[in-house]
Amino acid sequence: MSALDNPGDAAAFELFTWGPAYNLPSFDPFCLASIAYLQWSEVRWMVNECNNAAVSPRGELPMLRDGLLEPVVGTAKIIAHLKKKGHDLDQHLSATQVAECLAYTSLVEEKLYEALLFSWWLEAQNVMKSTRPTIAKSLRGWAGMRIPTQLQQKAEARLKKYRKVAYKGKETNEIYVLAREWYAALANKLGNQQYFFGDRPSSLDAVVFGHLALHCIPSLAEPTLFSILTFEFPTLHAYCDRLRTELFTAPLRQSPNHRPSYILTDMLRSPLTYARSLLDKLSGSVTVPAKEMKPKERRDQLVTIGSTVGAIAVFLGYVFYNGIVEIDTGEWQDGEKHNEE
Amino acid sequence: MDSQPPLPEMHQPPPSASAAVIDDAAYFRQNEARRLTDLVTSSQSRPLHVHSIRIDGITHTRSTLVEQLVSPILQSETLGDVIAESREACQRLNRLGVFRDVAVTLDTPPRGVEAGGAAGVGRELVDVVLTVKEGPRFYARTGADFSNYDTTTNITTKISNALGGGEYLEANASYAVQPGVALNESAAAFASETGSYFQLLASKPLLPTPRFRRANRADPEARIEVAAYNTNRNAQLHQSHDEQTKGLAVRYKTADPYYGNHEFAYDVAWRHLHNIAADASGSIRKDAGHTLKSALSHSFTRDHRDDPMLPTQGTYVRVREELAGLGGDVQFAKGEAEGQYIRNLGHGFTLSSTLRAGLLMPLPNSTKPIRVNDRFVLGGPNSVRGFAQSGVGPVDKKDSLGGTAYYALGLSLFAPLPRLADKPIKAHFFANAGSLLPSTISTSTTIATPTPTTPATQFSTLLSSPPSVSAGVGLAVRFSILRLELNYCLPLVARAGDRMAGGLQFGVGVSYM
Amino acid sequence: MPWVNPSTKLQNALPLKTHPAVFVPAAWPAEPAGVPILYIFPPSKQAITSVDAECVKYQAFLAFSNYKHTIQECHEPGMSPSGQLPFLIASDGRILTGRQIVEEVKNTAGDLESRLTDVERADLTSFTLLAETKLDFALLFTLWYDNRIRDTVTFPMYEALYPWPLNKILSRQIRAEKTEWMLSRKSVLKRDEILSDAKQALAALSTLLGSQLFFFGSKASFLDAVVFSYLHVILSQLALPGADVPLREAVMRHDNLVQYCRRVFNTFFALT
Repeated sequence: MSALDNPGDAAAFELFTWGPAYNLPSFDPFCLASIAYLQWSEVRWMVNECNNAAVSPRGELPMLRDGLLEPVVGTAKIIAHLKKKGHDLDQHLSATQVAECLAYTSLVEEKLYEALLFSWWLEAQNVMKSTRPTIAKSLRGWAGMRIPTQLQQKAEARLKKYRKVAYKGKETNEIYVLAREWYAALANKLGNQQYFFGDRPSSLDAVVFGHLALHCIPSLAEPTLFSILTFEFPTLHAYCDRLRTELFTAPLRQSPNHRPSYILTDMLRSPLTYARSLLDKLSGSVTVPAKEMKPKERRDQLVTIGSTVGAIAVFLGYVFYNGIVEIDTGEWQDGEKHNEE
Repeated sequence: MDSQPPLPEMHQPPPSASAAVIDDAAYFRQNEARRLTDLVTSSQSRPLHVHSIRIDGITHTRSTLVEQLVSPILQSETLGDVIAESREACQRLNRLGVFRDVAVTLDTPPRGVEAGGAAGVGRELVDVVLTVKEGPRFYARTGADFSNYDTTTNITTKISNALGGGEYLEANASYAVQPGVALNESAAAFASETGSYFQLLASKPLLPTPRFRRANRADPEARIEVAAYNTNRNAQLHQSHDEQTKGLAVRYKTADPYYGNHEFAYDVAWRHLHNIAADASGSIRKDAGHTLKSALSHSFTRDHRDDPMLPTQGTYVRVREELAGLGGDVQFAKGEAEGQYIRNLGHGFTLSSTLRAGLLMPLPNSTKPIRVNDRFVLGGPNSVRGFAQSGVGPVDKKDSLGGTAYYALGLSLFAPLPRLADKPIKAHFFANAGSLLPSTISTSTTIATPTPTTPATQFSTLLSSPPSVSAGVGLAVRFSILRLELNYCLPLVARAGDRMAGGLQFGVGVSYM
Repeated sequence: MPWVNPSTKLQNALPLKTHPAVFVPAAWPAEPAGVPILYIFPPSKQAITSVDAECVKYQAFLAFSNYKHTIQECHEPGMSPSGQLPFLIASDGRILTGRQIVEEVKNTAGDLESRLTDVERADLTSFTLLAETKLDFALLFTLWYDNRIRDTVTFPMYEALYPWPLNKILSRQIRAEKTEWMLSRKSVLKRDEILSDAKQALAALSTLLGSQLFFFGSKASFLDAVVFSYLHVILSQLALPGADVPLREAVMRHDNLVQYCRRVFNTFFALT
């Protein structure tokens, strides 16, 4: 099922991902979805668990490198690229099914992803005992201390609109109520089938597996999603388990370019990249908000920053020039500082 | 001119002079000083002219300004004039707020200067030497205040004499840290609003040109101030919302200890009512949002009480008017007045009577509603005792809505405690009454639109509506910066919906009814 | 005999006289009918439907379900408990937002979706979310970052609500908030990507609709409300004389969607 070892074959695809956790090849659902798609499409490929988002031009992982072409970033684009190259898992879908595939993919990638983020980053017990240690162990080194904080902040900003509601007599966050609806939609769509669209896997299966596999983790401190899936949607749980054994019977082929990242080796090998990753405020699957800025807006921003800095400099200069505040470098004269009565 | 006896040295003592210890040498000096004073007083009308004024010790202050303030001395014609004008000049320099110490010395002019001028031969001349010491230019103060069960920390920084003319730049910030939940019922009953407050202020004195033989009191000093402020007020407890205000104000203030202080201001404020609580009433919910208030206001205060904290004698008047409506979307005319008359009945007994009233009217032809943050509130340990903070007046569910017309009366008798007659603690017997009328809210479900009324109808409705009355007894303790009261209150008459706070009530503050 | 605090006894006897309340607040919603009120962002002149897509969504859903209600204009999202318009005041005074409105309508006026199969219900959920993420994003981006639209449609709409100079400050502040929201979802905002996402979503919706009356047969559902709201706002608000806005052009390319939008509008919102 997985690519055979063929040393020295540089024509293979190389997928840069976040590192492994919870017995899965990656802790990032988008990377996991791309891995699943590559496995099913039976191409020659290798995984590079680089754990460093700075290698990608957009600062995001997963990233697919196809020979000497420009790398492709993001699950949707990776799948589109592979389809163009002739590895299309959706060939057997009708037009309606293609529309449904798009709809359910966006359900999983936008909404179920938020449920995952909530469970991982906004449940205090999980953050302390499960998420942070696991991700830190996977990342190793400097990044393991810095990146989890950034991911947590981004998650909090994205999920602050979800409030507490009462569900079946208990007070819980409304995202779990909504998650049940979303799981119900997926379960109803899957029904009794092998895969979502018949008996051949499609890109939707890759995406659903990539995300749900990470929901089905019993070892979290508060495995709310796992218990919802196990008790209320057993078909989905069984589906995940089946696909996991199906996809990962043999270990994945590792890229020879992969080098573990430690602080010193990072700094020595490429000081510029290391410095840049230090200065990146956000990295990983959440990136610097480098939104498109028109030249006028960039100029406005520079003017704002420049005038603020200039005003502060003028104020400080005035204060010091007029001796309002003096930095006394002379010696203490005995009694000089006492009040005169 | 050598035949004249040397003129005595005059020294204006700095304000913080400490009492001298009596001993023989000091007694001798006192005696001499008294002789000098008698001598000077008896020769008030002796003709004397000023040759020059010299000012020592100016580093940052503008010399033109100081010269302007001391110039009337030059017009002196007698010794009495010189002394009086010098004293007035020193007062003006002290009031500038820039100098730490001002001293005047009279000296004979240098040899060889002939007296000239129309008076002819025989004119005595004197040199006036002013020795000043400028105060520190940078001042910073941090502090923490504990009051009303929350902690407020504040920090003030001030740059004095920024441009050499007595101006100062001040920045102050204050943050209140409120415990997450009221500690107990009584704390909730009187915890006031908290929040944060930041102000940047630039102030410049407007000094009238001093004139010869005219007391400073006749030309009260004035200041003009420009301030920018940002306030966050947390009113969740009684009004279920938070208010954020950002504004700019220009103020012109005059101060006269006898005739009173005036302040004219123009204020532009952007107010944002947000964070409406989940269980807030509809009346508060309808007031949520942004408003821009552009208002002219005038305020007059005259305090002739002997002690503002626990007075025994005197009167106090405060009047404030505000007209909002030049631009912005808030339009009203507001007036508020307070008068206090305190009479000493002898033997330590004091009777204090207070009357407060206020009226808030929408402008004619205005359809804009008057929101909750502009209305009056009544009730609490500093106004009608025996009721909770903002406990008197219109209420919707658990929110105090405030009102547009009110009056409040207070009568207090302070009696000395046996064996503690000379301590600043007194027994306190009081009776308070007050009534607050709502803004006329139509029954439509849109935002409240006021129906047109005249001040006369509002007042007659106010006077004919029964007030909330309370009485009680307690203790009042005077501190140098505030008064503490502990009263046992009996709310005697109330309106349905008033939040009463019978029993022990604790009050902290400066102004009471 | 339990000892009663004399102070409590005294306080319980007070006040000696209680006068009637000085103010009796009006019931909200107004008596006696207690008709529920939906507060929406003000529509543009002479229109019934709001200019805000979220408000049109619920207006349409209430209309489809035949839920008796009145409409009130409100331009202050702070009034709503969730901080977002629209909000509904039910006849018993509860204030409902978002999904609570849908549930209330289902409980009171009947469930439009009761006859759908499980698979159709799943499709309803997923396509609703598809429209709410992709189309909403594209609409937000066009409203706030397409310069022509921003200057002729969006800014004037917000600036009419407040006095000068507050309106200028607030419209920029709202834009900053929307940008921050968008960035919390998508790390990089690129016009072409957002537009192509919207085009894919529109193609998917067009395929699902086909030539039916509504998305799931002959009766409307929440998905119809959602899709109609976005299509209607795109078609009516983004209509600029002269140059065409890319998002509107993308919608115009799908004939069945345009016909659908027009049909729903004429059935439920046209002035008779």
